[in-house]
Amino acid sequence: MPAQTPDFSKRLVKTATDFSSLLILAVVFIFFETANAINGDHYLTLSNLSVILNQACFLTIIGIAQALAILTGGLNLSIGSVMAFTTVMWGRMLVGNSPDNVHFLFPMMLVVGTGMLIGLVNGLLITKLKMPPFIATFATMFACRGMAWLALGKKVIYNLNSDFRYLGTGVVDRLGAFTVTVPMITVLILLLGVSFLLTRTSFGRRIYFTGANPVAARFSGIPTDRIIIWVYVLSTGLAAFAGLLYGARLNSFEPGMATHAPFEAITVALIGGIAITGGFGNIWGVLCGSIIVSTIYNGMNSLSVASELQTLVMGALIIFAVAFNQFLIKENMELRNELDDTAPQRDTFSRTI
Amino acid sequence: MTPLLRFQRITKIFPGVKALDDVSLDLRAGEVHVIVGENGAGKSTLMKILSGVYAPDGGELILKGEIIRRNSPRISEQMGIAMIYQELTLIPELSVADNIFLGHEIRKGFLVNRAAMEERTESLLASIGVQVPPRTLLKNLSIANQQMIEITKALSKNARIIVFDEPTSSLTSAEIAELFRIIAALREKGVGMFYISHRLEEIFEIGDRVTIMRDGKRINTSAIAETGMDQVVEGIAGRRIENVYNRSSTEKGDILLDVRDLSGAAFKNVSLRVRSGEIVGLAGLVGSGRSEVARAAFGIDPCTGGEVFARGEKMPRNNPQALSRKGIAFLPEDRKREGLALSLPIRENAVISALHRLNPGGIIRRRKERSVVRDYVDKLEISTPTVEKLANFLSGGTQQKVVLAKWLITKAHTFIFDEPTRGIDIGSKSSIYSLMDELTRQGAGILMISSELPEVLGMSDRVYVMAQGRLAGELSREEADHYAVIQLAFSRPEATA
Repeated sequence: MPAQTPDFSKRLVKTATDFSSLLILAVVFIFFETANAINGDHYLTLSNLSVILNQACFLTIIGIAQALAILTGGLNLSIGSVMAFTTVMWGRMLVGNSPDNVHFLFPMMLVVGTGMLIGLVNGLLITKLKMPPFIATFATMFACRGMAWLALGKKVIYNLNSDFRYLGTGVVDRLGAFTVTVPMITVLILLLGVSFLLTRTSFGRRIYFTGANPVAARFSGIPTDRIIIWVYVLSTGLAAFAGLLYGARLNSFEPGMATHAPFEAITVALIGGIAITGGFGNIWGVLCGSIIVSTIYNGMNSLSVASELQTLVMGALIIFAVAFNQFLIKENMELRNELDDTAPQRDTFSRTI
Repeated sequence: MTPLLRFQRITKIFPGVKALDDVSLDLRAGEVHVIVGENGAGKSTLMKILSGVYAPDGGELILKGEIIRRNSPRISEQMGIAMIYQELTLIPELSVADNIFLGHEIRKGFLVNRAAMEERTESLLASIGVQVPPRTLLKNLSIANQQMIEITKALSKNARIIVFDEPTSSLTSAEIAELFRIIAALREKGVGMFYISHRLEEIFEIGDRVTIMRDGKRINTSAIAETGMDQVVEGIAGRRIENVYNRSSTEKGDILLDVRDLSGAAFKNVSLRVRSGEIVGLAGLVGSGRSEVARAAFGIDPCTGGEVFARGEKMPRNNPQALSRKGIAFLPEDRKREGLALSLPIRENAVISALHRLNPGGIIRRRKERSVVRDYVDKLEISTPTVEKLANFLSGGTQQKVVLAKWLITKAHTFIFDEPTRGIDIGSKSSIYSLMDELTRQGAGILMISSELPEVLGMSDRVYVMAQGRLAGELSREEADHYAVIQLAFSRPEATA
């Protein structure tokens, strides 16, 4: 029937907007494949894919940490400094393989615990002192970086415990040329957990609602302060965990580590379709955003693009991604509305990835 | 004698409402023309047409016999029309002289001639009998004195017409006397003044003529000397016949909500009770503190004194969660901003306050959730194809029903409705009234804050009236009529504490 055609095309557009990040990813893949093909190279090899994915894992963790804060309508700028400070503070317990050492899980828990404590400070500054999240975490960003330098000075903690290093560098299996690494498994488990938390628990519902409309959240009897504090505890604790994985991969902890992390985290969260205004976005989008960013870095390296230029490209990408996503979110909502009206049977719900 | 200004058959239409309907009115030089009416009667719209904020859809503005064809805030200012609002528009960090000449500084070449400005300020202030050094920073002046500066500023621009919009709402009685003295001085200078106020006793003190407005129409204009208070009150209230209210008689039971001596920033010592089966109206003018009391009682705004009991149990302060878990529901006036998360679907909005009840253990039971929401969508006749529709795309009436569903799912027993039908079409209105009636028949209690008198009178079993942050009185259904409510709403209740 002719009447179905516009409906069908709308449905197609809606599906496309549902998976906008995947679309961007496809475009990026095709671009680098073609660009490399001109030089007679092959870009999308299994081994290169596994390199990209492994790289993306580290971005994904800080991306999730950032996405949690953004979902409440906030921001966490302390991510990088927390990675440095918490690992520098307890990192000596992770040096060497002497049998006298405590089990490496123990200092790991201390690192994450310290991160959560800083998150508690972030949360209290935001809720009790009513500081805007940008300012509160801006302050803890400097404070933590300063404490990291104070704790270690211009030294580096290196030669880390090999069992611990396995977390950042270990290989689980090789599927042909594709290497499945430990960080991949870790990130997969983390994503499953956070996704469950956000979509299948009361706590997650309250996070989205608080982010979507903090005023209405209070009027609905949601303890918004408590929700926000918990989110910053999780977000900052996750940052500390990311610090461990970075250290394990690099085989060192140092006070100057991960200065760009909070901003990379914002980039991947936004490209992943998390709305900067809060309350909207799917956590799996962060994985997509990380893969896009790491593909672009990796691809630019494969084309030997100068690093200054790479930074410029990233800036342009953020502008493009945010504008594109905002457009898509709006479009997606409106299409959903129209389709709801024309199709009373539909009851499924998906958020833009 | 040609009037200074004439509104000639002014009509202004906003989407869905006729804010001004064929209003004709004049202002003479050297008179204080008082305009009274309920909120929404059209007073402010009329003044905004004068100041050029709105353009009329019909009719003309005639200044000294000449029709004004183009108007804007800037043009009206140049024509000598000045507005003195409730909220002052001065800059605290600047001196008195700088404030007065802000935007029209006296210059000497490129430079500001400060000495000349200070001299002129001094003479202007003297002309209305105010003694303030021109170099004083504005922030160091009292509110009343700041208002004097605002008036002086108008004079410095040679204003011939001054509009006072609720000028006394934040003044003490001594300051009001001072303001009236200055108004009298302005009258001597031949300035024409419109004076808008909700304090009826004031208008008899300061006014020369009074115009009563209601529902966008001019009801009557008369000389103050020939007008009685009764006439004014009756004119404001009018007699309206509407029959969308179906209030059945219900059994009144236990006290569900008990607010004792609550005080906050905008109100003092307010006590309210809501019984099971009862609809209690809370009336009063906008700004009388009605919503503020309800918001503080629910724990949204801080309160400075008093206690709130839900079913006899004392509630902690500043904790909406505690009240919502004890069965108190709040349906805010601004549904889009305070009631719903617009980017979330009906389903997630509807269950947000009942998550703990539906999902003990904190894990969402999706099937149960969906069926509960569908249940209430059917019960409340929420017109939507699916429960997944985003709240953003619902009409005002439907949004209100979703907020109501949210609280019904929590099994609330007391409902605080703040302006339950504002911005809602007449069809949805009557269905919301039936729902309120139905709720009380099942034993719920309702506190209804409303600016619409017919609604208050049509639905309430009892009416509390607030004025100026205090409870001005309580009326039974039999006692409550337009006249009684308006008289209380315009009264000045004495401090009881």
